[in-house]
Amino acid sequence: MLEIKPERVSTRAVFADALPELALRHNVLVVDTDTGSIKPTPGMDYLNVGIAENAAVGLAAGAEHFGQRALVCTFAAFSVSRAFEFIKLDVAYPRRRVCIVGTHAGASGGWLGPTHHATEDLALMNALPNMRVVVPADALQAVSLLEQCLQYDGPTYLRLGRKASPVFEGLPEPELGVPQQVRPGRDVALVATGPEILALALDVAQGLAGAGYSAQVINAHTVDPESAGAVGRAVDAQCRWLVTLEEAWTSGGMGAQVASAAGARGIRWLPIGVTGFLPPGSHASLLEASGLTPDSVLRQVLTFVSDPK
Amino acid sequence: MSAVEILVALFFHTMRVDSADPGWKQRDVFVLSKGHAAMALYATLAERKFISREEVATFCRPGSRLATHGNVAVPGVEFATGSLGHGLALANGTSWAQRQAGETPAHTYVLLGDGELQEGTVWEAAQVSRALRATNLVAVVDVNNFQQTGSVREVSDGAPVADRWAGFGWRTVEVDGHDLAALCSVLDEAAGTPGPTAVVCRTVKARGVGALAGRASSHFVRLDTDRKRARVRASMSPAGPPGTTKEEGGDA
Repeated sequence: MLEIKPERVSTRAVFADALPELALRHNVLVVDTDTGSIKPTPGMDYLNVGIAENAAVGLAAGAEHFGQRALVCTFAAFSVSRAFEFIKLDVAYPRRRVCIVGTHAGASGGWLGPTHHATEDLALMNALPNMRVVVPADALQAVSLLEQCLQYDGPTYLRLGRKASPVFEGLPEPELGVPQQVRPGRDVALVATGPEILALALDVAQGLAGAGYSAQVINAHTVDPESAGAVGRAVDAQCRWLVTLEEAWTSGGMGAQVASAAGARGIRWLPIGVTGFLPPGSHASLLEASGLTPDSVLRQVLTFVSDPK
Repeated sequence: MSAVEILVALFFHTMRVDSADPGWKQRDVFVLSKGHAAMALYATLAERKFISREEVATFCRPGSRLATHGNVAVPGVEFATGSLGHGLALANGTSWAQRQAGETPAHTYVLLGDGELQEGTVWEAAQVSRALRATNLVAVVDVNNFQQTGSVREVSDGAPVADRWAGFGWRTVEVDGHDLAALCSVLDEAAGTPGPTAVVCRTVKARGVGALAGRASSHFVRLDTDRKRARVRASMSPAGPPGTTKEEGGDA
């Protein structure tokens, strides 16, 4: 059974630590947009182009066209929406081996405010054919999935947080596109994405057990439409209720893909995520304001499963 | 039509390309950032044997590789363009990759329109070119003074194009974009001098077709009736030596 470790580690921090060695190992050009996240080392192909996300994505795409695999490091709030058209036309359409890394994703920008929150990223990236959309569940998964993105034969978006986030004991090594059941269950399937949200799902599953419901928990660390079929198949055949949990707007996010894939079996679906724009505040307070807390989610799920419709 | 001599100079004089091996690693790269000039590029690619002359006649016919805007299905077309403001950013990437290959790198030439300069991403990329010391990058700007709905000055801003590139710190030269000898000379110099270099070309939209030349309405013309075709054919000037045109070059 999966346990939440006492320590917390930032997915962005481990990305920064692991990137220099992985970039060298896999011959990856690293394009930075003045994020301050990357610590370049000698020998690394590292270009900080400044606060210029469109030019950064274009540069990476142009270099990739010449055979050079590339990674672009950005704040999620500024790559995915601002440079969306460059990602769409110059990366996704020609299936380039470019990894877009978005840090400070979801509400993790916290007090930086709504200009720096990225709750649209999953919907926007999921809208693009060819794009693999990756949300590591913790710091260990972040390093493994980063390396998989750097070896993937096509475009990827890697969503990372900002500050320290939960780390899990007993979480298996991730494989891009393959969901992980982390707790078996037969009544309610809780599909979660991202560190805070997976920890939340485990809490809620415990609460549901107390209320007499057996809850399955699935870690969806790859959330794009191409992966959603596998998530749908991972939902226990006996489950009558599907609850998707994400730190993102639910329109087009992970839940929408999974529900679309699992819809044919007629399972009822409760999407839970961020609704509306968030004010400035601590990450934890913003999750609370969004109802992404164990008490709130448990209440919503119990209402959902007791509805006779 | 405004870009024809520019394309001829690049593909027949300046650039080292191999139509038998469009992906040749040591090639000079051409990026058509003003993707709506794809027809002029297709004609050039046909003359340069990347595609057949017969294929040019398939333009926008069912099953054709030749669309209104270029795409990578066509040999010699490096990127799908037409969404304006992408080419220079992509050219930063190809020219960087070329510089990784050795001391005397091949060049990347990117063709932009003057209307296209209204896209902010052009200038975002222009800053990056300088910051990366893109010595082997040449931006060729086709200043034909018109865009879809009117003259560039009427629609937006008429600040001198060459001054803008110079202001961004680019080595900037101006040339009559229909004077083939002058173009070849300027492009030779650009290839032999560390850039990034902007070659600002004064041109005439739809040059060579009197009925259409120098008018915004010639941005996209469908010759779909006999009457239109006859009128255009009658107004076409015969090919002459460079510099003999009576049409005035645009203001750069």
